[in-house]
Formats: sequence, C-alpha cells, structure tokens
Amino acid sequence: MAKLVASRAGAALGSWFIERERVVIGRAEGAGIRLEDQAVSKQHAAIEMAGNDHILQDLGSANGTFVNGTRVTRHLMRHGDVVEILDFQLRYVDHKSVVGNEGERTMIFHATDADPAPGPAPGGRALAAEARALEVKLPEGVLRSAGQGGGREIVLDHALTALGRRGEEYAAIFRRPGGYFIARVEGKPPRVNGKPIPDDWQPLGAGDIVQVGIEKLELSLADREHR
Amino acid sequence: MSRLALDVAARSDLGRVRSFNEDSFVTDAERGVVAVADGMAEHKGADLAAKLATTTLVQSLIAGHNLAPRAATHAAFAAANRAILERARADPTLKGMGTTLALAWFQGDRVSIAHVGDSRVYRWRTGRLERLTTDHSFVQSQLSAGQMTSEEARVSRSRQLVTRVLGAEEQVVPDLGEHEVLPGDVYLLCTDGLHDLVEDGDIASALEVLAPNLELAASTLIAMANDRGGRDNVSVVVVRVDRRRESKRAPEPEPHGLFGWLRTKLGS
Repeated sequence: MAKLVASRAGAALGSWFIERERVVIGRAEGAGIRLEDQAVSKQHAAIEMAGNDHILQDLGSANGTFVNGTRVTRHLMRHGDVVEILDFQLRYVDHKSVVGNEGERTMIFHATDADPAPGPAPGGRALAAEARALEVKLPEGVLRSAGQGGGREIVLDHALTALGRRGEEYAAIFRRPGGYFIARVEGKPPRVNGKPIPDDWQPLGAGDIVQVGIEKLELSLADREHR
Repeated sequence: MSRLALDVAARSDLGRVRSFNEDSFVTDAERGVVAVADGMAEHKGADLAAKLATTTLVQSLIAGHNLAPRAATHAAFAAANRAILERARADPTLKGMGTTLALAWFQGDRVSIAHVGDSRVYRWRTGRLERLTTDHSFVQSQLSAGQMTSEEARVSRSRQLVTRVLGAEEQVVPDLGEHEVLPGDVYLLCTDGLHDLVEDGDIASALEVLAPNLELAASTLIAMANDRGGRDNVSVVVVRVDRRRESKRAPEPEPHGLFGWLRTKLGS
C-alpha cells in the first residue's frame, strides 16, 4: 500500500494511505488530502490508480503542482517522489517497489478489477537502477592495433562488437556489467595472448592481445571517472 | 521442397530471482514450428499451463496440416486454450492457471505469426529489428491510447499485467499475421523475461553480430537478461533463414539397380 507523507516547511503533518481509485488533493472540505491554505486550489491535484501505477494529475490549479522540483500536469509516481504544492511537501512512499524474493509474476488483468494487484507486485526498479549503475562504472574498452600496421581503433561501446569476417574467422566482444568477454562466433577460435580460446564467453583484461584472423588488437580500459 | 532452410536454437532460464521456471518452448525445425509460452497461476500450474499450450499447439497444427494456415492456427490456439481449461476443471488446485503463447510457423517463403499475451516475435532484417507482435498487456493498451509515455512504460509497475491469455476464458482470439520470409532473416521469439529488461538495441545487436552462431545468440540474450537483474524466467527461440544449398552433384545412382531389385525379389 502506497502512502503520502506530508509536511509543511519542514514540520510533519501526518500521512495518508492511498486506498481509493482516486484521491483528490486540495483545499476543499471533501478533499481526500486536505491542504489548508488559501493559495491551494480547492481541487488542486489528484492521484489515480491505473493498473498497478499511481498517476498524479494537476487539476488546473492556480499555483501549480511540482514533483521533485519540476512542474507537472501529469506524472507517474515512483517511490521517493516528492510532490510540492506551495510550501507543502508530500513524499510518496511505496513499499511494493521493494523487490520480493520471487521477482515479478505475470498476472491476468481484468478490465473490471477494482484492484488488479492482489498478489505480490514488486516494482523491481531497484535492480534495474543497479544494473544501470554497473553499466556506468564499467571502464571504457578500446581495441587498438598491436604491432605493425597500426592505426585501427575499435571503441567497445555496444553490447556486442564483431571482429573478423563473416564466414571466415569471426568473433565477438560482449560488454557486460562485469567487464568485457570474447567468444568465437564461427571459423577458427580467436587467440588471446597467443592461445586459442575455448568455446563460449571468456573474460578479457586490460593489455590482453586479441587475434582474429591476421588482425592483432590490444585491449585498453580507461576509467571514465579519471579521464 | 522449399528454397529456404531454417536453423533454430532455443534456451530457457530461471533468471536470477525466481525459483521455478514457468516458461515453455517448442521447436520443430522439420515442420517449421517454433513457439514460446509464459505460464501464470493463482496457486499452481503455471508451468503446466505453458507446457500444455506448446504441446497442444504443435499436435493441433500437425492434425490440421491440410487446413489453410489461418484456420489451422486459430484451431491450434483454441485447442491449447481448451486443454488448459479442461485440466483446470479436472483439478481445482489448478484453477486460474493460464499462459501466453507466441508462435512462428514457417511454410516455404511465408511465416504465420500468432500470439496471445506479452510474449513477442521480433524479426531482424537488413539492419533493422522489427517487432511483429503487439503485446496484450495493460501497459501496451495505455501506450496505444496515449495514456502513457514510453518512458513511463519502462518504469511502470503494471508491466506484468497481461490482458489476454490462454486458460482464462472459453474463447480466445489470437492476433494473426502473415509475412514474407527472406533469406538472411533472423526471428526471435521471447518471453517478457527478456524484453522487459533488455532494450531493443541490445537485442538487435545480439541478432546481428551472433547470427552465424544461433546457440551463442540464444545464450547471450539470456545472459543479457540476467546481467540486468534476471527478474523473471527468460526463454528465447532464434531462427535463421538461409537459402537452401543446391547440391551441385547429380543424385547418386541406386546402390543396387535392377540387379539389386531382382535379387531382393528372387531371394524372398
């Protein structure tokens, strides 16, 4: 069950669970969440259920509705969002966004269901964010011609980078949160530091010499933060 | 005999969070039939629903091989739906089990695509990844109605809500499509454990770069989903279409010829 924790200019005002399909925030007496200040519109904003989501909508208020500092007319609520209406702050707390140990279960949505989420419905955003964080921390990999010839530089900025030629010696580099990996796709296996690699993805480290066909490339890793 | 040949690889994985695999897939390269299913249940039977769907689908397509593809596909989805409903009626603990189902049925230079739920069929062709199915899901309906932006869809908590499945109602209507098949095409069938976590650009990259090695392509797609949290079971079927290699040599002569035939006849 999600709730809004309200405060005004730093002083706690209490909290409201969002239990109904639609909750109005405003100055009106009938408002589900009543903010008593003349500058708040009678029907200032509303939070509505859509599937398993809460959608915040500004109801054409005079002074606007802000989420995390940005004025919004419509916003899909996420755990930790702060709704600001004048000097009122409403923090959106949603325990469902903490991932359960069974992950996300597919469920049948019936259009007539008042609440389509009787079972566990964790958001899983924490993990997605974690994956993105790992992605950012991964050093930038570049393959540069080693030995004679030189000049070629391949930036490994895609999930997969092809090396060699189709139908002949052909390999790929796989960029993963844990680093860079190489595998044979077809033809003779690529050599790493002179040795043919076994099948499937093999980890690569900085300074490794990769050889596919006649081409010899050296992997360099640069920490983005120190560039 | 078709001028096109199919190469197929498939793989299913638990993911990194779940303790049971409730997906199912089937590949029958001989008949050109590949399918994936993602089961769900109120109590139990999710894996059974998925398995019933893929096995019944193939049996029914074989039984209906002299029907037109559309009719045969409709009949096969109806049969799969019936099989799940009947099993659930026979065993109350299975009540509420259901499944998604996505099918690609290759017949010469045509492919019939059919689906129910949020399992998908993609096609990689000449540098472009295209989705050939439209999810039967709450988020897709919100997107189509302009009620949700694609950015919101990515973080929505409603992503696991499907609006059409096998096993929920007496009648189920799959979305059907027919497409031309070209040599070089790569098709991907997957459950939402893949497409919910792995972006289209990365899927495209795997199909493009790893197309010559479908086993590697399948395991790499699964690794991508697990690298991004592996929140759900993930199943993938990849199909590459190649021009059938014409045999340059004349057919071998009969091993024994007339004498062999005579010997057989006389010896019996």
